[in-house]
Amino acid sequence: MRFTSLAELLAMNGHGIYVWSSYGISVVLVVALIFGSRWRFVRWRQTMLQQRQWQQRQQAHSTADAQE
Amino acid sequence: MWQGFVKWFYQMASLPLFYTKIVPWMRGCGFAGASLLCVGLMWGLLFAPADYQQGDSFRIIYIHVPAASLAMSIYVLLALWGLIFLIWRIKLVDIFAQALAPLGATSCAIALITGALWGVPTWGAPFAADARILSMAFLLMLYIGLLLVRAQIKPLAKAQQLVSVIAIVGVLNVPIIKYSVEWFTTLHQGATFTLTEKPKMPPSMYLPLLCSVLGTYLCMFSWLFSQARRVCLMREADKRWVQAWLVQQLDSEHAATSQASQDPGVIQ
Repeated sequence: MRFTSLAELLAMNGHGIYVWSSYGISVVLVVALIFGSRWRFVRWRQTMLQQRQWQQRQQAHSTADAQE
Repeated sequence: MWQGFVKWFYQMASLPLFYTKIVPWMRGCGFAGASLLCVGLMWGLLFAPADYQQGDSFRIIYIHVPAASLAMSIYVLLALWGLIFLIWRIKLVDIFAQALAPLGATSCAIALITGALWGVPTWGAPFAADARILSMAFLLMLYIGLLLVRAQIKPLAKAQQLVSVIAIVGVLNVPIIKYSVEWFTTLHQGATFTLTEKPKMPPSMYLPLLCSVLGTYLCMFSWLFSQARRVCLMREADKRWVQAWLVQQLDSEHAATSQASQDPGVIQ
């Protein structure tokens, strides 16, 4: 360990703000990318599932009508 | 041997097979990459010695260099895939290109932002009219162009063609970025790793960097595979195998909800 205390690690001899903000911004960007893509896919999946369910119900109705 | 390779190649070009067969690769790359990246970043932040000139601000390198090299490599891959797509019209290759472009744009932005934050204590200014910085900013513009074309141009075939052409033409910028520090007098320092020479840093500084660079590349492959699987499903929505996948998803959701209503004790 190069740093003896947490305060020293955070300060990084006066360069802490640059180091930690660059790590923080990078993490935020990557997390936004991952969750943004996941959210878009989940939304697509939801609409497809609803569409599929609706189709299945239509089919069930039409077969029931045919049987009557 | 060759025939086996050809068979594997054709199997991989078939989207339903790709969708199932790639899963172990996706998980393996993700696990190995995430662990290597964690090790590299922790090592660099906590254990590497401070630079004798730049002090502790040099620790930004462990995120700046992987991001920048990833941004350039992804662009080269996009150009390569664009060329393959224009010649052979392999669907999977274009799906790869669509899956990887957002990651390329993100890593390019990370490289520029961390570079600016590194520049403040080191050069005294976040930006400079420096060949490396300007060519990197141009790369970000190219990435944004690719993303916009994908999102806005409507018949898919037209978007695919445009994206491939932009990727192929824009790849000329990558050697300019790479060699800008040698061709021009720049503020930016030279390359850390070259194939021909030993790094100018001591191992205690470059080994963590090597870890984080390798980890970043493995993570890129994992992301590529997982995102390409999603794009496969979305592109082939009206095909039979995706419909079968949807039915399976519906069934598993039904099973989950009916099980939950039957024995609520499990949830509580």
